[in-house]
Amino acid sequence: MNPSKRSKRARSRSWSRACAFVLAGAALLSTRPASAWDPSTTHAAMTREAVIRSHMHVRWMDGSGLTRGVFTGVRLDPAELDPEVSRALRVAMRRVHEASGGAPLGGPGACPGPSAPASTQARCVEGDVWEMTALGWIQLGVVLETAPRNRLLHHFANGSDPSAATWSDPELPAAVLRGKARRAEGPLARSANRSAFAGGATSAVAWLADRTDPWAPPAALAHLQAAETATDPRERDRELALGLVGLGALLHVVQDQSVPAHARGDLTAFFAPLSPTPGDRGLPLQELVRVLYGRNHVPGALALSPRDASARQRPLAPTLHQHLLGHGDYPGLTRFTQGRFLSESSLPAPMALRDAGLDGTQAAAAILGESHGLDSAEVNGAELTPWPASSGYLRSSSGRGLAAFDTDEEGRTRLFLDRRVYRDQAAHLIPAGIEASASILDLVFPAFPTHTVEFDSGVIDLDLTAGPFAPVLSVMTQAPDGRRTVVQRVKLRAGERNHIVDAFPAPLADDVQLVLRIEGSSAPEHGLPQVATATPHRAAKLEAPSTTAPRTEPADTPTPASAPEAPAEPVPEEAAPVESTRGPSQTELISPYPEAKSDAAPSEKAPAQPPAQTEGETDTQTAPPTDTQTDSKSAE
Amino acid sequence: MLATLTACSPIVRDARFVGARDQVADVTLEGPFDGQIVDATTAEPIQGATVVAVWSYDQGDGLLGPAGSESVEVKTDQAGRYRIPRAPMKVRGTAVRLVAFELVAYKRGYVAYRSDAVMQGGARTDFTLRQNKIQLEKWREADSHADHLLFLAAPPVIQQLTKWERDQANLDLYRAQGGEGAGSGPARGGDEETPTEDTPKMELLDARGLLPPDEVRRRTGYADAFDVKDLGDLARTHFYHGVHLQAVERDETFDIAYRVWKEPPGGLDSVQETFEATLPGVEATTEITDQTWVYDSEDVRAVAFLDPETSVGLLLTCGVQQCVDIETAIILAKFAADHLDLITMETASETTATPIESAIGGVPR
Repeated sequence: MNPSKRSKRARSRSWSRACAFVLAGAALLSTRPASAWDPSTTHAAMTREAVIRSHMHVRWMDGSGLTRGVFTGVRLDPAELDPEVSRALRVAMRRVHEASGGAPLGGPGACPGPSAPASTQARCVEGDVWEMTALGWIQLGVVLETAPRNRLLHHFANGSDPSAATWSDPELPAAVLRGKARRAEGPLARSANRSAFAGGATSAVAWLADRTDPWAPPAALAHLQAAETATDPRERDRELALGLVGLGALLHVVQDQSVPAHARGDLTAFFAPLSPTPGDRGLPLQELVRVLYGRNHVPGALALSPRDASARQRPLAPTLHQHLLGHGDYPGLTRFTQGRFLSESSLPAPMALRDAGLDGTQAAAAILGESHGLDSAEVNGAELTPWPASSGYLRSSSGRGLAAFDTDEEGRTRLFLDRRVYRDQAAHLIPAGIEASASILDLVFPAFPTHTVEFDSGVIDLDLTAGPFAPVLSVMTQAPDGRRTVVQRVKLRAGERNHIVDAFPAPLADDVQLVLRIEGSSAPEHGLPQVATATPHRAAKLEAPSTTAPRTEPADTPTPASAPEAPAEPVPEEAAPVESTRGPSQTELISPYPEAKSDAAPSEKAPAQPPAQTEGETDTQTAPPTDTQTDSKSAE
Repeated sequence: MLATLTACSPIVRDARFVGARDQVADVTLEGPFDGQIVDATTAEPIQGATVVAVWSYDQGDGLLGPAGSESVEVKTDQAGRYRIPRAPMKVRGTAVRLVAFELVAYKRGYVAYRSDAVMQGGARTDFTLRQNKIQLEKWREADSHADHLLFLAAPPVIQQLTKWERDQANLDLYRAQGGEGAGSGPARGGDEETPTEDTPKMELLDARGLLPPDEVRRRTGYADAFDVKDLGDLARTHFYHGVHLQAVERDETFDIAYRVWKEPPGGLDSVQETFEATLPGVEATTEITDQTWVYDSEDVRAVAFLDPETSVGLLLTCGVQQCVDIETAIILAKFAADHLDLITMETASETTATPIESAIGGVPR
């Protein structure tokens, strides 16, 4: 580049940043380009890793008698979908990369008929039905968050207050941002999908509770709840598929919080030139990670303590918000990323430092100023090294590179992010994103509480000392054709053992499967709605024991003694109210988002329930076992 | 008109593969592609293997996202050959980019093939545009259907062909994650998986000789016994072995663990990335080799090094009661570094390793 030209360009802060972008882009171009936190590679890999590292699969398998796991095929009939939902899925399916694991089999036109050549049946499932593994539906949800592109706008956090409900990028006027957002999707598509952008948008934190978005957590969790209670197996499949797509969307939003530009509300960073071609712009970090790691290889951290390797049981936080904003010792993914890493457009401005007689630490403090937004742990002791020098790195006290620096034509020290800093960011942030994602999966799919079932007498003992809060047990029977019927819904006591007599009409017919489902909340207030399912088997029919314990209990969770053989005294309904709803009304969900029921709400599409089972109309009583019996007597 | 069409043509990213082996050839994601599929053991051509070529597009200016794929499916002929025409390039529009090409090959009874990755982990580096040679490995009893499906991320046509693996993959992953309800023995499906005399046995890395308990006691002054176990969080493979010296009747601050990678498929770069992710903020030094990381915390001390000569990476962690200072941990790591020739291989049947997670990657997943 011509030095005189460069000198002219270096007169404004924004131009300095642009140069940094160009340098970064040039660095990217010098790498072997190709495969991209892009949905098809990095997000796909992070999601896969999160699923594998979470307990989701084991809990699904345990809860289904080993019949359902993350590789189980789940079917969805487009004819049964709300038109808007169907359209969104079709758009996502058109956009997903076929070799990324999120492209389904089947769909409209995939089965041309028996007279058609065999080669045309290669994608046929049945009729117009789509089919994909559970993991595949989650991966599709990750892609759905990019279609239309304006969905990406709720992937940002407020740069100055990560808990704020909105964000905006103050670096550029809103009109410019609107233009950029428009170009990101194309004017026609933008007009069609009405993705007006006023320079700011709903933040990721606020989106977590968005009751208007059919793919936001409230709707997704409602689908997952309905996936257990719906009568018809086909309907359960549909609800599960929709819930998993929503879960994929959630994971995408969460994983984006491990990108500094997202966590700092830095939309400008996404418009760095990636090649000399006009309009070829993107986020340098995203492109570099795609090139470096591809789909099958993302950096991951190892447990340093050998005995901790299999002890990752408890979610990092009890709510979705706290996964982003922190809980206890866990800083929260958004706060961690925002407070520890710089993004392209949130770098401090260039400053003349070399002749100021400062040492490396003083120079670092001077150039960082007050508006860097970094945690004090990163800033205290930070230094420019080597110093004085024309180029080097701004390092935190731990030695980590926060940014690179060089000297512009005016002799000012200028910060930018180079390949080495990006690699360091990726090495820290991708594992953090995977960890948060896996934790959320563990939160959404909790272990079914330790329980015993007496099939001969209809007695169920449940240990709820490890949660959830506000538990409600649904006792269901499943016929050989897969149809489920709710027999009882029972409010339980949280934090203690529950003894339920006459829980189901005993003995059950040999071909009837007992299904237990517990709904609850992950926290006393603002907790995540949770559902866990178990299909206890009679010992003679399956090798698995009828008592299914969580694989490992948290260290501070006491293991309860075995349940008493005889039912304890009944507890009056005032103390332990029992919902004796039966028949069709039983499928009504106890949703923590009751007002969220939208067109996509699952229960509205549920076919009518079969007639109630009269056997279920026995008195249902809950009573604590012997160790809590005193309390129940007091209640009497 | 021409200008309009040109403006709407996709930007084509550079290919990550080469044109052909041992000769100069143009290389582009667009193709065309050709090659041959053979049995890795017998070198016999494999006829009727399904080969799916997938071109993937992105779109957007700034906020990028996937813009779909184009795919072509062919079967190999009697000579095991396949030919893939040039990309249809029907995906057009402003800011469209052809970003990737993947070739996926599948034949039941074999481990599938992807042009961008290897099942054992890391990126594939031997794919060529022309005269590509694909050597399919026969399916082995010890192979995991879960790892296979995760690796494949199959395009729809291949999904149809691999549906039969799903139930087995569920069980494989369940066992690998320590599920208790599936029994301990292998439960295999599919006739072709039945092991025969010809079925190659799985070779596993054995690093137990690298740091014997006696050598540890000699250097740390610890007098009591260790149980020598495999670290359970990552699958032991032909390139990875994690060894756990668990102090008997002591808490974990007396434990030592070391993880060894030897000639990992993704190369030592992937191991280095794992070290850097595991030991945050640690700068490489020349303490043991030119690439050594030393980490000291309240609970654990860790030393990691890469030895490019032997293509070995080692991460040693030592509880603070066993290694009273970081120098002790460094001494132990140095001892291991001096005895890398004691790393051996053994066959899977000789082992009792029970991985909790599988290790697809050149680095643990």
